[in-house]
Amino acid sequence: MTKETVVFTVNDRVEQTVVSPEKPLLWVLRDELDLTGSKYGCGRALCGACTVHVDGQPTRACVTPVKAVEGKRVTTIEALSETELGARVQRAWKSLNVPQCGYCQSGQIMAVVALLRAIPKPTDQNIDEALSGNICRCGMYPRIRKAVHELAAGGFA
Amino acid sequence: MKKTLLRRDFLRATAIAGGGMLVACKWDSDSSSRPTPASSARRNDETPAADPNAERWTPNAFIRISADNFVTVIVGAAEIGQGTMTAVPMIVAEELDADWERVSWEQSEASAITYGNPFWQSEGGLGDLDQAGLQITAASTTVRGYYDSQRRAGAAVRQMLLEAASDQLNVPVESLTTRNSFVIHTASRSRLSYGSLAAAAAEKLPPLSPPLKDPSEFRLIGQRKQRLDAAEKSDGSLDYGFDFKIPNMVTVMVIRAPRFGAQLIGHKVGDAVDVDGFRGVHPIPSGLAVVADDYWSAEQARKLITTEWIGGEELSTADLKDQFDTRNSLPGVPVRNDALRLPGLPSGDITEDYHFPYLAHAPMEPLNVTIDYRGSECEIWCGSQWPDMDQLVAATVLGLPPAAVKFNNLLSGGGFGRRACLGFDYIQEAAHVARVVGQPLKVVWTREDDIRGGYYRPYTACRLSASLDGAGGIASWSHRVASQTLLVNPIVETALGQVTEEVQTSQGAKEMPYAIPDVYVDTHAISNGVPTLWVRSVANATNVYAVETFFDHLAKQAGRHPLSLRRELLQEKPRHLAVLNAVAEMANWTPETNDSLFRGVAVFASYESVIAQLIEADVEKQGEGKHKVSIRKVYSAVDCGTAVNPDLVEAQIESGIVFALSSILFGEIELENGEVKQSNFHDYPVLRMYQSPAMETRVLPSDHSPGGVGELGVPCVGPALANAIYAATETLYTSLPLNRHASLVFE
Amino acid sequence: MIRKTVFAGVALAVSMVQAQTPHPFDPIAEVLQHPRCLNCHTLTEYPTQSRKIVDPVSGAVSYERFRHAQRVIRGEDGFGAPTLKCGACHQDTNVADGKMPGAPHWHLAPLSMGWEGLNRRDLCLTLKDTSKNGGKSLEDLVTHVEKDALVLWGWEPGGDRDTPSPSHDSFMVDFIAWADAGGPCPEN
Repeated sequence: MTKETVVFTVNDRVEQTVVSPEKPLLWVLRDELDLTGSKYGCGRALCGACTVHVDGQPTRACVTPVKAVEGKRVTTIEALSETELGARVQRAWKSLNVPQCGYCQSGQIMAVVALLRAIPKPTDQNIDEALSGNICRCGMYPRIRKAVHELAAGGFA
Repeated sequence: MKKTLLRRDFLRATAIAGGGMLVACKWDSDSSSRPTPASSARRNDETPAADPNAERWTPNAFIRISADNFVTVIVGAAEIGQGTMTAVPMIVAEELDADWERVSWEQSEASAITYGNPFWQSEGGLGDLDQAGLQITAASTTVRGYYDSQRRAGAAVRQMLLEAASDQLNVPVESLTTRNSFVIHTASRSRLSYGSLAAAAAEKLPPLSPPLKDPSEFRLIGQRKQRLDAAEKSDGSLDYGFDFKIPNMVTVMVIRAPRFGAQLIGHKVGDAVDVDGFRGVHPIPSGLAVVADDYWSAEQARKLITTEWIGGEELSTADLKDQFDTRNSLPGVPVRNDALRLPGLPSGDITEDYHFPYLAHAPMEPLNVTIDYRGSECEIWCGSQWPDMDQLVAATVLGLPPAAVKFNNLLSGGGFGRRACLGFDYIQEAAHVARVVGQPLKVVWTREDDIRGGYYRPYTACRLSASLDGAGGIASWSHRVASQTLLVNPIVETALGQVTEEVQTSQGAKEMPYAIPDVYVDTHAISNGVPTLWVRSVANATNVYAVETFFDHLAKQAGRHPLSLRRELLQEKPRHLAVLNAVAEMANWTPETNDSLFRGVAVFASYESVIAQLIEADVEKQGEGKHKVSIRKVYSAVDCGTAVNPDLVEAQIESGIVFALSSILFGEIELENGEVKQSNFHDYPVLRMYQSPAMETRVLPSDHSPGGVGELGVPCVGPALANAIYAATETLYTSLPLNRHASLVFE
Repeated sequence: MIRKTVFAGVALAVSMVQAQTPHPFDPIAEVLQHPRCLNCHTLTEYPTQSRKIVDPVSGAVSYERFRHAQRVIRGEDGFGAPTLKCGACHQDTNVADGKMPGAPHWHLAPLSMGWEGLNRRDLCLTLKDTSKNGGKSLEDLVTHVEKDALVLWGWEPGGDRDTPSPSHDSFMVDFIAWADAGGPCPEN
């Protein structure tokens, strides 16, 4: 199979990989760069566990060909605590006991950070529209919603 | 490093019979022979890190105290999301009087002898295991099973620390107190850390019956503490099995039978040979193992390989309804017979047949096993709800003594029963692969593998029949269950003893709580080739749906309000009545309520706990006989005895509600000529954020010992919703999932 | 090549237009009313997905359309909410063995080009209305349906999604014939 060189930024580090261009970003992150915080849950953009930011936009890494992020900035859960908002969201998660099994939470948190950046005071409808792509099988939706509202109100600073 | 043979001998003599606490005094420098996975031991992130070189004292199997005064609680139960790694340490730390800010958790090794849950102590036949209890995390037993033994473990070590302090200060033990990991002697204004006393305390004899606190003295139990694993579950740093890597590891995907039980008779590798990273294939009992460098190459290669199969189960789920109903026309095995009637056809004049589909667990983290088999020994890393048995099964496949298999249990991305598999499918398969591959490997399951992999909640049909007494009450009640039996494996049947009781198909039917003079329950166990397994709340989910919706149907026929009739028939069940009244009060619902909302309620007791759940819904008539249903709010009132961490109890109930709604609204696995139709979250949908209703949960104060909560929130949700719909439409929906009914539209 | 094939069929199509039966817009409407088009030419603030239903007795095919499972919305520009854009999942091409559909500039058609529930006449008028269709002349429309990647995706949707029954070539023949006839619209 033909391979191509793809250059992109992950968590502010320039990465170069020689891969089959259709290889999903998720497997480059997890298996080549050892960034396993982004999870595999469905492989079809149905569950959101693999959510990363590409140029700031929440993106499902499991269906994103690595070629599609050529020259772009990828941010994963591993770098999130370095931002003020990311650290606040993580504090909210701990403080409100949001995670249960926790497997979906990387994706949830990436989606929540993108939500609060775009809409600092989201309504319930905004929350539904931003987060309904992220499945939590443990069903912690009420806590995620509560955390988002408390963060919007300035909590966990 | 100190090592006293004397003490190690001594400790074997002090195993406490019946309590499941094996006092295992041993010295433990920080030089464990094998690396523990990074994920298996973490501390509360708010605390400073302990000095890894500090000398540590492991006074018993459950507690380690380091010289710099950190306490690590070693937990035998599995963390599948329910909060084990917080609740169990809270119980130990309570009696130990440990500083919660300096308490961390560690997952124990697989060892039923040491870490088995006392709940599962057997009545005999399993040698050493009888007293130990199985190391299984199932049936909502972690807190209720370990509660007493962990309290005693903490209290015993506290006593040893007190004695050490007494020696050092030369004062009587009675003059000493403890607080936040220090022994305090008020008169001399002395304060000695547990860490500083640990070495001396290790010389003390562990007391057999240490005094326990009166609940009024609790400082931790009953508090809403933050989860100890929350930090690493919020920053991506926790390694689940799917993430865990060992050197030189290859990735394996398996092409499994297209029909359950089919045998592989041929395969063609074809163009897979050109896939970069593809290494080869190996036939194994469950199919064809495809070996590659990593996930992507394994997946790419697997798609290009063709396989040929013979035989296998060819049933279609569409045929099961008639088949099960036919069985239910015949008498089953009686499990409750209050009026001592002759087994036979129940005589009620109101009869309904219920049908429940197969369901998949679909935990967020698909199954996976990392295994390093080196001929004479083996090491496994896997998130398991049943590590001791998984270890044993792997050893059997590999032809090794169990002690040669080191099983590292990892935190799981959900379980719901799938990771305590009575067929031991994933662990057996991984061991078979390891035998033939000859290098460290990880078997990974895709979501499609998971959904199509079987071990479903069994298809079930119930026939309920009743007669009214003509005076507003119910005269007779019968409940017949036809379901696949879970206990297909004779080894499992022997090993489980009490499990048989827990998972039998009558669970939730037999315990029907209402005061009805003539109650009769019988069951049919049906076999077919579809592998089945317990799914969160097991048969309670189906039987309680039938019981509680049939109850509202009867109340309607009797001209009674469902709340009033429940209250009347629960007079002898004070815990049931209390949660029922609490939930009605929370929702401000009385028999006189007359507003635009529709309400349904259901009550249920199991796991030594009781719950009532009430759903408020808008039900709007649409054209063509359809009704639009939107769930406004779900109320839950819970009596789970002592709530060790009420916040985690509430989280479990909320979790149960979402889990239940997923199955009630759209959960269904169908087979057509033996092939599973569903494959991923598009055709096996689970609840999403916008579908998650508002919830209010109240944990009632209670002095009872702790009851289970992990499954408690599941069974009442479906009937509460169906009863709200019934109140609006007078239609009794007797088959699930509800979205299969064209007359219902869910918003 | 496609163009060549297309023009080869124009003569026949034009003769059909002249015969006035069926109406030249009919085959175009058949395509435009297929879920492959309607799912993103909605009159709602969100796209839909669809499920094919085959009547077990008659074999008749119908489609059940329902709101997109992930609750995505149209957003200001049709490309989704800033918090969850269409491109969060949909790539420039179908991926995951076609199970995950994708094409360049995956987005919803503007509300003015919502076709749900329109009869053939209104559908035809809407299609031609330059105040609604982004100022496209009939010639522009021909180019659009011939070359636009998202339109072409309708015939290569990936996975087990079905396509409008006329092929794209056949559709182009009909569309050009209709445009050449001045874009006549049926009475109802």
